[in-house]
Amino acid sequence: MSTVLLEPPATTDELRERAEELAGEVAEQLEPAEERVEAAPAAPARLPSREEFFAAVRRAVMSIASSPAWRTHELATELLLLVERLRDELEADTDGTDPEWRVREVLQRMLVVLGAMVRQLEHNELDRPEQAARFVANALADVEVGQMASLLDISPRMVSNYRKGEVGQIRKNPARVTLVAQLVYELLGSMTARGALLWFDARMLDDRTPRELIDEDPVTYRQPLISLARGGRAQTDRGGARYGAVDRAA
Amino acid sequence: MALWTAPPKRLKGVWTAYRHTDRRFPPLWYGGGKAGLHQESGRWHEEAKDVAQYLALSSNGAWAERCRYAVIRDDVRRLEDRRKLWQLQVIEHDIADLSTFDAYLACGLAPELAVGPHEDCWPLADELRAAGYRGVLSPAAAYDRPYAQNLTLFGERIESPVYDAMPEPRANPRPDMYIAAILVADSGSPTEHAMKHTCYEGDYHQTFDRWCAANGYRPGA
Repeated sequence: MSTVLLEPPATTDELRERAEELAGEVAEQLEPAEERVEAAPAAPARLPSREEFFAAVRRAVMSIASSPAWRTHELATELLLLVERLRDELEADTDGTDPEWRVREVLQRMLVVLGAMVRQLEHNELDRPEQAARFVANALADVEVGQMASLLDISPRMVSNYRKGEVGQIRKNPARVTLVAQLVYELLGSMTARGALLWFDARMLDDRTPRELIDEDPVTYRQPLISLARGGRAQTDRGGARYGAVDRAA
Repeated sequence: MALWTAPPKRLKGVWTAYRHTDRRFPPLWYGGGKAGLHQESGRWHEEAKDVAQYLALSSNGAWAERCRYAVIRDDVRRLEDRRKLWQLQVIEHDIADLSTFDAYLACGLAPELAVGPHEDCWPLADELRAAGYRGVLSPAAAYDRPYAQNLTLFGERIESPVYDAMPEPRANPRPDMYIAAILVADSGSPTEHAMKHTCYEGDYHQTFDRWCAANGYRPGA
């Protein structure tokens, strides 16, 4: 990572690249905890590099937080506060062994915030119908043209064009296209492209499928559907079972 | 006025737990502040108010949670699912012992809370937090098997990645915040067994119904 003064990123792509680059540098510092303990005897020699690392992290964060798009964003504020916390923990860790994993904790939190930033930038991009169409065409490249056309409610010919990178202005169903893209973006962290396609036809919302709700009104059902797709990030057991039928007990 | 007539017993110990996640995310919920911590509501927390770590005490229990959440009822969808599965070493204290339906009853709490709608549990979750409990051990709502339990931890926790055997608990310098985590499956599907023993939303919870029958308990009565 360069330690020279960094200009604030001017475009979304630059901003995302800067955040991803910083995340990569932070991740590199996060070796398994037990290996860090084993490396402790050599720790004093690592101190100068830690100072250099901090200086580089600080410059990168300042650069991100100075970008016009993120200057007032809550995540940028969190990142800046984490830099200050990192400074405190590094100063407190005089021998560089980080025995209570305090430095490590700040770096891990920083990584989560950077990940949230990158995802938000990607989500913002998918709110543009043309970008959304391009994303779905690539993400579901193995899905049959007719099935994708049905999902997006467009013609098979348009799907073929999207797959060739020919995406013009989206006039038909832009709300549907962006919603499908946001949902596919969420789902692909948990299933294959075919699994994502099947998800749209699973009866999971009061016996209705996501596709039926999208057919009805992609604007009204946008939030509940995104929440449903996003809720799969971690282990929660959505909803409740029925009870009270003692006579039904097996 | 307390929801319970007697406070739940406080447990202390080391648990081996399991959890599945989206492949792009770390296994536990933590962040840099409120802005990045929006965990969709679950049984023991409300979105934007708190976070909680939902863990199962068996790998099938974790997969059953997935089947229930994503309504995976057949092999076609099950085998297209690709999640990370983590094994975790939880070293905790002040865990509320609501591990059985009997334990709920002994505390003067409705046992159906364990398997019913999430919203019904939120007041109890608030009360447990206020009383200094750090989590709760409760019958699993999704994995419908006798003795299936979930361990839920209140608040943030951070993973300590482990690539070899699970370390001795004493190797963890801060078990109040850190949890040793082994990635068991990088891109796994729920097991067939878990899917077959999942209690889906709106289904009858057979284990609870059997308990009701054995104890002459009528929910809501």
